[in-house]
Amino acid sequence: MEPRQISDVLAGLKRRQRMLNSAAWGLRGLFAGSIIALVTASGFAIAGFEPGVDRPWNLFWLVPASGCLGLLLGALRRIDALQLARALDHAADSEDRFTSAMQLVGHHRRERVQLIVVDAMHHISGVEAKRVLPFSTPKVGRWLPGVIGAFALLLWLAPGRNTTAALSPEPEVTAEQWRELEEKFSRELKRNYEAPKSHVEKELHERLKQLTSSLARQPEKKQVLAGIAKMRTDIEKRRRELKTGNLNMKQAAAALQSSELLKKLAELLKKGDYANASEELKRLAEQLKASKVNPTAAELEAIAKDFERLARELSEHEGLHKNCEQCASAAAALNQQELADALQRLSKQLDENREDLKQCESLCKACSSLDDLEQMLSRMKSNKQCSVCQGKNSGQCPACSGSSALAGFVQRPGSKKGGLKAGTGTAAKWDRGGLNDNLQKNIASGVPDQERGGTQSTVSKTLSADERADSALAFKEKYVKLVQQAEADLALENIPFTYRDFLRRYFSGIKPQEKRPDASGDPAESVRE
Amino acid sequence: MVQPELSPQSVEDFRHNYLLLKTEISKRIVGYDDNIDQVLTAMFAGGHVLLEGVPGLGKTLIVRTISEATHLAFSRIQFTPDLMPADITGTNILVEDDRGNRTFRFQPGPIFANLVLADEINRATPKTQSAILEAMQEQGVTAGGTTHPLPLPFWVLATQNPIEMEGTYPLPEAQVDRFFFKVDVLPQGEDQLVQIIDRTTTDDQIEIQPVLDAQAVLTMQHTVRQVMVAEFVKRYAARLTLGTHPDSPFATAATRQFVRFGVSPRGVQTLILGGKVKALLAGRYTVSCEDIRAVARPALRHRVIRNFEGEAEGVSTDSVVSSLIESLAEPAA
Repeated sequence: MEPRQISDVLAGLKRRQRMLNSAAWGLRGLFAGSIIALVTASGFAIAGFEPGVDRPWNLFWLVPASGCLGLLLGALRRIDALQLARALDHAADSEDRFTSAMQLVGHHRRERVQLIVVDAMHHISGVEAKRVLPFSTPKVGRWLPGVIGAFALLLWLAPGRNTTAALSPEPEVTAEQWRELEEKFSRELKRNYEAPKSHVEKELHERLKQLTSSLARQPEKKQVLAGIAKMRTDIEKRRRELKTGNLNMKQAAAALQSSELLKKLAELLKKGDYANASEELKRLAEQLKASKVNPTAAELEAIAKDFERLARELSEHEGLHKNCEQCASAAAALNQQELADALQRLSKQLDENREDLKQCESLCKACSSLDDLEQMLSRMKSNKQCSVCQGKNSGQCPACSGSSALAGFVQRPGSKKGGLKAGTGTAAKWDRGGLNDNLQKNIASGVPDQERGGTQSTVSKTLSADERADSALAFKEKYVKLVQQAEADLALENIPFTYRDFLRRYFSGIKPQEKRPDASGDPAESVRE
Repeated sequence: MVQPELSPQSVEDFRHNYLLLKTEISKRIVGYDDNIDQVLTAMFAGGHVLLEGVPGLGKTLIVRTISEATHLAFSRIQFTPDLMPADITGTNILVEDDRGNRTFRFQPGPIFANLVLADEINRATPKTQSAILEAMQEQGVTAGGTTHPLPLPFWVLATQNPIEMEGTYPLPEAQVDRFFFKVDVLPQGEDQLVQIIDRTTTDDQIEIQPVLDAQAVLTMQHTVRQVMVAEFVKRYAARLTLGTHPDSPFATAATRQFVRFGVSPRGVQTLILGGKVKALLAGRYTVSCEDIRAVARPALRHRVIRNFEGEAEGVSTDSVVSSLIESLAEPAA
């Protein structure tokens, strides 16, 4: 019985010791975790918290985790029975009676052992495990509140967590915008490709439809732009392979605007019905030959002008260009027979290039669709926060305004002198190679204010000599460029000194004169060309 | 005679007899409680005692009082330089019987007693010292090829004067080792001296009554041997002993610096046996580490051999043992 009593006492002490070990090691674990977390958080604080980056709240979990680890380690620690027995003797003031009994319990002198055990149990009776193994806080426990407090303070002082940024970056284009774009472009395609005429057109239509369906997946804007660029490159390649090159017959048909006889031909060309257009030319040639149609001199002159313009439009195709010129010459010469022959040759030429022209037309159509899509994309307001104005692309900031010439070139905070360098931009920021206002001003900076006409705007329409089209470039701006170029040439000293003054006088002579501010009327009239 | 098994009664009897004897001794001896305890501890552990002290401190009186308080055969040997071994052990003498036949008969010396007082043992020559030390170890005397056992209990109490060096023969280390305890008898305090005056300078006679006989002493010695010792206490005693060796892992800085040779295995035996007496006096059946510590100084002080530095510095072996006791931790795992 006595040995069992001893083992029972020891078992109770072991339970208590295990609990104390767990508690003490748990505290140590908490302390270690707090120290590690504090040091790491301090490192973050010293390095600086990046806006939008999750601050080290997760480090907080290190504290209870290490505490739990400590608890586990404490519970698994080996417990020595001799230590417990000696602690019991110390608490009971039994002068090593229990420890001796524990160690002598297996001795062959059973009577003596029993005497010893009884004596030991008598002396330790009434001694509680709490008194034997009192809980004493480890030294680290005293520092623990301070360390945890410092850690909590550090976290509290740290910048706020940007959860939205941390969880998912805001897309550049929202889903709603993508959906709108897809619908809009789908409608556009449906309108343009109601009934595809050729297999090329069908194929291009399919590719455009694929591009449209890719919008539904809400891709990155630059991915879409890359897709557009790829398709455009492909189209350009195919167009170069065609004999007709970049001919746009529909556009060229607009040149046939004077003659009444050629109106039907113009309509057929605008429709892209090249077979009938060829037939129409053939029929017209036959009628002229058979004198069924006898155009007047004015009519022939109008035909000559129309063909002359058409020849210029079709300058990329040698055969068509030549035939058109022949038609124009024959008409200008009022030679009906020769015109009929020329028309027949043109008809034949047109018939030969019918397929190429159709392909070219399809490719142009696809290109146009791609342009539309690109414009739609560029018109979309970016959902991303502007790094310059820190706003949601209100358009007021030149950097985030889509129409601004400075878009993509504004020096952002942190970027190096000179703004974004070549190769670092995106397709979305491509400004099509145009010069912005500032650059334009810089170019003209070499011209005196007097020559540049001061600060008043002098933009006006300038008609070309043949009045075929309007020029978008103001004479004054053209003049500035010319003066600049001339001054650059003069600086090179390639022009003899005596001629320099002459040259300057020449430019002075053609300098545009501005109307006085109080004068009324069209500014274009005030500009002497 | 069958000795009784260890029991609460035997322990109680031991304590009772011990206290009885000590009380009786204290009637005459003023102070020296520790010294008397050490002497009686050695007595009941079956060991001999070397009492060292300057003259006049009562060393001889202590021994004489003990002899009076017990029914033990007592003999006193005053050691002098001309004392011969045979003067102690006895010798064969030629005797003539009634019929005129002459035979050798062993004439026992004064050592044939239960309690032998070897007074000023260091005054005798080494040869004579060896004779008594051999008898102490062997518990018998060999003369003329015959070994004569000494009476039991056999107990030698030797005294020596540490200050007189001239005409003395200091005991060799090997012989000092045979003493169970070495008791340092130190001068008493003022109160004790006043009591000594009262007791010894009047015509009052202090009668010492014998309270123990030889059999009682043997029984008590047997009871001591029945006390059990746990493993951790044995280890503590062993480490304490090893700690006196300069090359031991348990040695202290003082041991390494001042000690030449450490304690022999007799030292650890002494610690355990002395501890057993202490355990019985505390009413225990097992020895505790505290018991070991209580007997460590008298048990080890004469077994530690100092080196030259220790002797030159005047470092006592007591201080070496004390530093060891303070620094050595009890086995806890």
